[in-house]
Amino acid sequence: MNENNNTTLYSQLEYDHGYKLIQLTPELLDALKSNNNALKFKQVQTDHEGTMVDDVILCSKNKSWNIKQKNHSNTVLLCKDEKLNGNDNCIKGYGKCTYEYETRLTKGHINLNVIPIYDGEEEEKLDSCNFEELINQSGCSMEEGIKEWEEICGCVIDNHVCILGENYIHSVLHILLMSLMAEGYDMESQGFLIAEGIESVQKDGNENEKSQVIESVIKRFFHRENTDTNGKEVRWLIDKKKIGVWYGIKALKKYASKNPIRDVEFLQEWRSMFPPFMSIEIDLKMLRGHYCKPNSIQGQIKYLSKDILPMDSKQRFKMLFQIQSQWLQEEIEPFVKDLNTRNMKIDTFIMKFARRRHVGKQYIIQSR
Amino acid sequence: MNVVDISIDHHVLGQLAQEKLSTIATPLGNTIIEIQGELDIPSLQQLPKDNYLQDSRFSLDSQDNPIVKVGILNIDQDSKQVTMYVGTTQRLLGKIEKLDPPLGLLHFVSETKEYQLKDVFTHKIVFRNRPLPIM
Repeated sequence: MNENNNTTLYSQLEYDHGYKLIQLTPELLDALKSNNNALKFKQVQTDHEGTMVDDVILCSKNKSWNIKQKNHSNTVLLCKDEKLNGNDNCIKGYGKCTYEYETRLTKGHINLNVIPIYDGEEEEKLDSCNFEELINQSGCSMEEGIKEWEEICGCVIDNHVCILGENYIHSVLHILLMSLMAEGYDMESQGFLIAEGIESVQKDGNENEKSQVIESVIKRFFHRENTDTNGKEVRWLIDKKKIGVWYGIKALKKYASKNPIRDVEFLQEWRSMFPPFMSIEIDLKMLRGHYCKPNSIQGQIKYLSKDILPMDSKQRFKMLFQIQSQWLQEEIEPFVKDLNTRNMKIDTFIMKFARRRHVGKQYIIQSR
Repeated sequence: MNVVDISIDHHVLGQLAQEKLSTIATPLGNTIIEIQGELDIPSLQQLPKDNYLQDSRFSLDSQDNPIVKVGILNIDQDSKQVTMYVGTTQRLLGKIEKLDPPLGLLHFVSETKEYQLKDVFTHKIVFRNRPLPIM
C-alpha cells in the first residue's frame, strides 16, 4: 500500500470465510515468539454454577487463555496489497470478519470428570485414558496440568490415569514416612531420590505397593530440592505444612465430623495421628477452611467441608451464618473465595453479601 | 472434545522476531479496514452471469476471482487521516488507529484441520462517520 498517495480499494465478491482475528495480549505474543507450534485450541466442558457449558481454551506450553467470541456489526475488511488491472497501487479485500476472539489469561484446570478413583484394590481394572489424552481433554496447558496432577495426587498405572483414593493416599503416606525415618533419611535438608523412597516402602513388607503410587504420594507431599542438581536426579524434601494439614483434615473427619470437639482436645488427637517420633508443628490456623465454630458452643470446633456448601454466593453466605453466626474474616475467607470469580478485592466481595465489623485488630463477619 | 493445533507461518515468525510491526500495512502486505455499518458488496448470484464484467466496476484478480472496485483511499501518514472516495459522489473520513492489543490473523486450513497464524496487525484504518458528499 502506498501510504502517502492514492490507493485503489477493491473487494472480492466472495470472501474467504476461513479467516479469524484473535487478540494478542502481551503474554500471548510472548508465547508466539517463544513456542513455535505449541499453541492449540481446546473445546472443553466446564461447570458454570452447576451447568455444563462448552468453553474454548487456548493453551500454550505453560499458560491458558479463555476465548470469547466478541461479535460486532461493523464491516472489518481484510485487505492485501495486489497488482490489479495493471495498477501496482491497489489493495484487495479478501475476507470479512464479523467478530474477533477475545483472549483472557486464565488458570487452566484438569478435567476431573473423566478420571476414576483408585483405592489400591488389585481387582480394580482401570479403563481410563492416558495422561496425554487427559491433558488434551482438559482446559489447561501441559505444565499447568502436571502441576495440578501432582497436587491432586494423580497417578498413571499401566498407562491409565487415576486419582488415588483418600484413605489409600493416607496409608501409603504413613508407611512412606515411617519407612524413610526407619532408613534414617534426613528428609528436611538432605532429602531422597524417588527410587530411594520407593525402595524404602517396598522393602518394609510392602513389596506389592505400586512404584507409581509411591511416586505420586512423594510428589504430593514433598517438594523438589531448589538447588541446581547439575544434571543429577532431583532429591525430594519433606513439606511439613502439607503433611500437617493432611493429617489435620483426617483428624477433623475422624474426631469432629459428627459432634463438635474442644479445640485443645482436638490438637492432642491431631498430634497423635502422626507416625511415632515425627515432629511437625501444628496450629488450628493451618486448618482454616475445613472447620467451623458452631453457634453457642464456646471453644469447640466441628469439621465443615466446602463441598457441601451451595455454589450460589447468597445461599452459601446464608448457610455459613446458619452454622455460625459470627466469623473471623480469615476463617470465612477460605469458604467463599472460590465464588469471587470477578477477582474483586476479597473485603469488597464479602461486604456484598455480609456485614463487616472492625473489633480490635480483627474483622468480624456476620449476616446483614 | 476437540483439539485444533495452531501453527505459525514462518514469515510471521520472522516478523515477530524482528518486531517489524509498526506500519499500517504489515510487512506481509495485509491491512485491516473497518467501516461503520455494512459495506454493501453485490453477491455473485445477484449479477447477470455472462456480462457483469462489461460493467467497468467489475474485473478479475490474478487468480480469476471476480472483484469490484470499492473506492480510492488517500492516506496522509503524518496526520494519520484517511479519506476514501466512493464513486464520484461520496467520501468517507477516517483515521489510522493503533490496535491495543494487536490482532492476529488466523486461517483455518481444511486439509490439515489446523489454524495457521498468517499475520499480526498493530494498526487498522477506521471509518466511524457517515459518508459525506463530494462538493
